[in-house]
Amino acid sequence: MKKIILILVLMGCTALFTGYFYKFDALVQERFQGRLWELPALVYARPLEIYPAMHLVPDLFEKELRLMGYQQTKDQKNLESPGTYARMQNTFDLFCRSFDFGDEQVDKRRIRIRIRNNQVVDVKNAGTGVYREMVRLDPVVIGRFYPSSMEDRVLVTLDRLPSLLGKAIVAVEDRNFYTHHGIDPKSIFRAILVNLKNQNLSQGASTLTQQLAKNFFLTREKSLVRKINEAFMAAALELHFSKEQILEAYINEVYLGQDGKRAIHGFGLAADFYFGKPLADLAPHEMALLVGMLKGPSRYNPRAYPDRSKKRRNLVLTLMADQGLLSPAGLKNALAAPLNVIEKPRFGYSPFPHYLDLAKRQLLKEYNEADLGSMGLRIFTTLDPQVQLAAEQAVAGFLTKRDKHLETGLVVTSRASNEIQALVGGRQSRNGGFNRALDAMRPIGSLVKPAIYFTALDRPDMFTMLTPVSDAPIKIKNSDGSFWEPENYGKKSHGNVNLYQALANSYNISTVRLGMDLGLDAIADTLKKMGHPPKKPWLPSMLLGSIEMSPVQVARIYHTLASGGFFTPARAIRVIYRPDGERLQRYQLSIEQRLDPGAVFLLNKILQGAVSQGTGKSLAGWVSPDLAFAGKTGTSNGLRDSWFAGFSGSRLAVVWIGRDDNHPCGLTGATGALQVFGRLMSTIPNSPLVLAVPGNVEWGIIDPETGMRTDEDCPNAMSVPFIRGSVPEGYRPCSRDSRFREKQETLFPQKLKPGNIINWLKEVFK
Amino acid sequence: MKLFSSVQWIILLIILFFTASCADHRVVSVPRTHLPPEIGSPPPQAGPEMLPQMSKKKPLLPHEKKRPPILDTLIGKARKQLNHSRPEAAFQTLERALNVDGQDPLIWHLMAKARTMQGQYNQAESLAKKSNSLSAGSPSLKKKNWQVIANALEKQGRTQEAAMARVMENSQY
Repeated sequence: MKKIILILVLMGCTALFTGYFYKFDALVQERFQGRLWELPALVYARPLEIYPAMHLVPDLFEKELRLMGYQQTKDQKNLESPGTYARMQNTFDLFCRSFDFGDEQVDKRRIRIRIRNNQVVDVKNAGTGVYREMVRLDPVVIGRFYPSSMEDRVLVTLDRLPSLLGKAIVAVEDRNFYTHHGIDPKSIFRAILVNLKNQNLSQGASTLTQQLAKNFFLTREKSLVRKINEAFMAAALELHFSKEQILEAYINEVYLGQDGKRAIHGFGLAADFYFGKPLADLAPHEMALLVGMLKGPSRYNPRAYPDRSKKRRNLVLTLMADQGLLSPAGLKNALAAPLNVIEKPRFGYSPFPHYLDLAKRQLLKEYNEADLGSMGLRIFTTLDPQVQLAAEQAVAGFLTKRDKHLETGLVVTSRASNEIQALVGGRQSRNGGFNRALDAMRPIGSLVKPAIYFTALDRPDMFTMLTPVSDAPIKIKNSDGSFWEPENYGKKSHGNVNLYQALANSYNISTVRLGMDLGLDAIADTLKKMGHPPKKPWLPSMLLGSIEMSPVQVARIYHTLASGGFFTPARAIRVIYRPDGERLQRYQLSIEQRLDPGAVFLLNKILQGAVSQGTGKSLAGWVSPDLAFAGKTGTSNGLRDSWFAGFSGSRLAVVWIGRDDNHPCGLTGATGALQVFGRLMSTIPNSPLVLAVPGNVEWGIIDPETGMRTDEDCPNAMSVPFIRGSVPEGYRPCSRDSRFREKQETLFPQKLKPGNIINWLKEVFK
Repeated sequence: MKLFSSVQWIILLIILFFTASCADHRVVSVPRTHLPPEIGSPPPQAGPEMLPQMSKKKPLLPHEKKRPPILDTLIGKARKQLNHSRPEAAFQTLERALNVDGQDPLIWHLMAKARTMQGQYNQAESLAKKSNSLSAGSPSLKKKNWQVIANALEKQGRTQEAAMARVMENSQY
């Protein structure tokens, strides 16, 4: 009977044990089959690509290096660690970090960049010599999208880990890791003895597997039941997974510090958080410091307790040497090494929250927020940190010491591909908040005028840039029977002017007359083709910019002009990679011809005139006229909004200044936004705006007084572009006394008579 | 010898006067080199010191510019990628090249070719048109662009437009 009871009890215990084990086994399997961690998305700026003859301003470059988390050393001899640089005047020595660009994995390397007169002379690799291709530097991290848990980690795989790290962890935390089955009885026995002696549970005997099980599934509470559960789970883990898989999971899971709300998990992130470089680039003494922290990340926090932390590190180093992981010489060097911990972690906050907001909005069109913060995506944006910093400085430079209610929105894009290079959403742009570059919908004032003049120039049978238009006062009847009487700035009318003068000087009355002749439908259609259809109802006041747009929307329509009539969707993101290195999505350049390049060319010529001679001429106080910027000022009623939109050969920028409460800001486009634009463009490289002449454009030599063709040697003659076939037929010879003659019979009006004997000889003998 | 030389001069002068009489009727095209200033050209005063980049030289038109070596390298790389039927990689290389010089018509032309290889004929057409808008000084490139455009239009079934594009292609020398 006793035997039967014993057998039944044993069977019961076995069933209980088996059931208990299976419960944890199922739990472990389920957890490991899914995604192990919620990985935040990492958002990068564009990687800086350096090549000979590139424009590179040394001070801006150094600012970008600092944003990249590069630490300055005294000279190149002290470049001992990746993520450091030395500057000798305009020569930079960099110890670059290794980096996975997605399409290329680049190892750590030492390079020298020589800059003269803001131009790169050459880029050399310490080992291989001069680079012939572009040298890409690891990009600035501009932010992260976190999971709700705020757990942060950088996933690493064993094949990309320094093997020393795994060995060091095993040596310090669990010497029998490769021989036990999840539980180490010897260690448990030793711990029980110590705990009995001390009458508490202070001594732990957890294996790496048990620690992993605890982190994954259990609380931090120290109790016997939890210990038993931990042991079951560890056994289940060992049953299903290899030692390598368990070690890799441990390295990615373990908690190694706190940064405000953000919990630092895994060695990958810890390497960046404490040393500002990837795990693969860590020196042995740096690995030892992290391994030492496993015992207590807060207690051995090297920033808070450097001495204690160093002592612990040296103990780990000695243990490593005892296990044969370090040579005596290596140990000696490592013990003597400083902690090397960077002062401020790189990822603590986003330096450019408004740009991050822009990128997130683009991503949320295709991904849900939970996935975005947990899939571990690596997102490469188009942000140019040098342009961004210059834009922020330009805003600060202008707004400091002015009305504290003044706000701003600014956007910079590249002219060729319409990549958004910088975005400022307000005067306190580092704090984030209301993103005026995206969300401030304000009347655009005279910025609308190019759409009207394009509509006219696109009808070459009726309009050229010299077509006269009246600037005399006009009354327009509103639908309610009242009258609208547009006025010029300064309340002065200018009689008869031509299209060129009217736009370059931003005359209101002539613009309204022209717009009414063309029809509001036609203007709305042009705006739609440019990239932003105005909302109905279309009222005559639309002709003076009563339409509300955000700076980003204005940039979109002006980019269509800057690109010669080709609409190009703006991009803030280039490419997204999954954590396993697979490319998830690429946002590629696409273009669509929307406007006739010839008419756009004529319009852009006038916009260049608006900057060189018209309402934008104060830009000459900031940038050289050789850059030949094209641009347009805009001011809304009662000086409530100050706008400037302009472009060089390489960049386009739109600036808005105003008040959130819509009170007058007291600034015109020229005295406000243009000044910010000028400050910005004066500090970043720009190439001159050279407008390529489309095939349907020809030139005529014109007497500006009469608007007729004349001789090329006339003192006041000007070269004027026309859409082919629209050069004026009327001809007036140079001499003032000559009788005016109309050359109706001229078949080829673009072809002119030789002006004088010298030119004539040139023609004969050329 | 002296006599012969004088006779030569007299003949030359006669030829000159003869051609001069013709010249009154001869129409002369207007090259963009020795003309009066353009409308809207900046007044001839000196501006502030160029910050921080450009020279005071008159900027060159796109086709007059010497291509920097890095662009040659990138364009060469893109051509190889196209030759190895890797249009996606080529397009990526060319996008990097655009960041060096967005006004180089050859880059846009090669992008159009990449899109043609990928069967994205709409984009191929747009990109070739963009290249054409920058190719004023390069009729041979224009011809190639019209070829791409005609091909893209044919593939899209726009035969009439394609025929016109072929005419444009053949009109380039």
